[in-house]
Amino acid sequence: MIKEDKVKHIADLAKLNIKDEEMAKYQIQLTAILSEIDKILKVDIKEEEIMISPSTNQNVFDEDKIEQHLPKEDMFKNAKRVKGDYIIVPKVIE
Amino acid sequence: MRYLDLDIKTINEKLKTKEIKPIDLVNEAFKRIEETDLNCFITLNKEEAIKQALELEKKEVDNILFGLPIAIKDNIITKDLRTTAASHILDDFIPIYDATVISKIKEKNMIIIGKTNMDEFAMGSTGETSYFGNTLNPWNKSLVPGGSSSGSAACVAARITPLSLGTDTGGSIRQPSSFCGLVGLKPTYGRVSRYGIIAFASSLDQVGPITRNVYENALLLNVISGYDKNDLTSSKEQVKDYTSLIGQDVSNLKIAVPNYYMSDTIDKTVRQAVLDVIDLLKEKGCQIDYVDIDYLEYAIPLYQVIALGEASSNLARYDGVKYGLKVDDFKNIDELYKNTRTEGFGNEVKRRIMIGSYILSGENANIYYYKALKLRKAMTDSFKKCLAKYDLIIGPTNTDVAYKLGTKQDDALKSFYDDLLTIPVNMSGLPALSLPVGFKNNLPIGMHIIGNYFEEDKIYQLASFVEKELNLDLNIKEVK
Repeated sequence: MIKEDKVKHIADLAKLNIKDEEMAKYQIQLTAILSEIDKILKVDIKEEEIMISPSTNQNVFDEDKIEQHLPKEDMFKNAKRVKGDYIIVPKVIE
Repeated sequence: MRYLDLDIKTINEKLKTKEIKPIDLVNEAFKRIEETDLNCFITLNKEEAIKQALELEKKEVDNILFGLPIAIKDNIITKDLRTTAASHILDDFIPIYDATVISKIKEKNMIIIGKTNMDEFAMGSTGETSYFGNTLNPWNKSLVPGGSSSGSAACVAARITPLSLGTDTGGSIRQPSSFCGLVGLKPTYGRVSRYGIIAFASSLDQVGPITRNVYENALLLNVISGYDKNDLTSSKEQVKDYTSLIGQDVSNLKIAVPNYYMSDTIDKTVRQAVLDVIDLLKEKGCQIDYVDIDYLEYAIPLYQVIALGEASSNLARYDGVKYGLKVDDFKNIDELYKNTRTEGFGNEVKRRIMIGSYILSGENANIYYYKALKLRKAMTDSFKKCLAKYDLIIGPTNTDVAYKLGTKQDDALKSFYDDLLTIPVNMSGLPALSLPVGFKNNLPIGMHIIGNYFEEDKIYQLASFVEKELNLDLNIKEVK
């Protein structure tokens, strides 16, 4: 079973909080999935080639020209705090 | 009589002769939603659908899908129509543009009835992880409809709409189609644009049609397929008329049956239904061989690394800043992220992005992710080797039929094991379809037909033959 510290570390990586009362449940569930995943470490594969995506497309380059995309004002429609052309966020730099 | 119970060809003729109007179909669909009460929809598009139907009365019926009501899975974005991916974190999100598949549907003057319920961010196999409550299976309301495209399947099975769109990352079109007695196709990766699809695992996700029969499935694939410059993984491979091989002779087809797909893990009645089809095909003259496809037994852990890794990265965008939920309780930016995500995501999603973040962190990326990419290549090569010799691969879609709501909800592995037979197809990017081939305790059984890249037409060829021979009655007598 993975330790509480490890669950906290994993939650931190995913930017999530874990409540104390949820800890035991996550220990069990994350352990179950991680043990399952460990199975692939035992597979013997001779080839070194990898596959990141089924797509066989080559790199696509756009022409360097200005095009009309979505209207600027629409971009802010779903943001909760907006001032002019800016989205307000908490202070990041002290 | 209900017009929406008729096949699409007949409806089209009636629209052409003006025996019926699009508004009749739209009214029927909304009436049916109330009658059946299955929680298929998260957001209805009633006002807009009625308006569009009335406007269509002035237009000429110029294509076979004209004026037909369609339901859209709620992870496909629709301009000015709320799109939530069944998550609290997006429950007030109003998209500012249409997904490419939506633009294509609108070009054909189809009418969007609403956005269908689903597992949150398409993570689940029962519909139960939705923030908006689970969808019910119209064959029996105490059962799961399957997932993650739960509402898209239930609404076609209940004959609310003749067609719907789902998405499939590990089986999310095929599994609910199988549980609801429908035809559901996951196209070849790259066949249908992913532009405007709320990403789960970008190298696995595909949009596809869910319909009552094979022909109508091909009709909808015809509309949504094609290259899109807004999706870098979209293919330039020419779009075919996917109905063209329907009804053609199948006796020359060479078909493989993977031993893994017929093992004891699969329910006996489900296996028997597939065996009966195999007998039917042999009798017709098809060559059918049992084969081994390497690495299939590792599909679930492979999926967990690839899909959850990609998901953790894709879902990092939900930060309470640009759109979606934003909590008020935070002292700094890190708390804004964490408190928003903790409140906004459900348990299944949290679990999956935790695992994904972990296996991609530091040295783990080398240990797990890199190994998974090698395994993915090896499994795909094994499929390719098989499809170099055979036209198609068949087996069951799922290990069993639909089961009770609330089964094993604490089991973190259950939703993955439901996709045991469908996941390998997403890993390789191949097209595959689920076709109803029988019943177990009055519940539909799905057969899986896997094809070679961009050979959806051949899948439909076989599926249409089997469909015609079996001639099953898939209409639900009474939704209860």
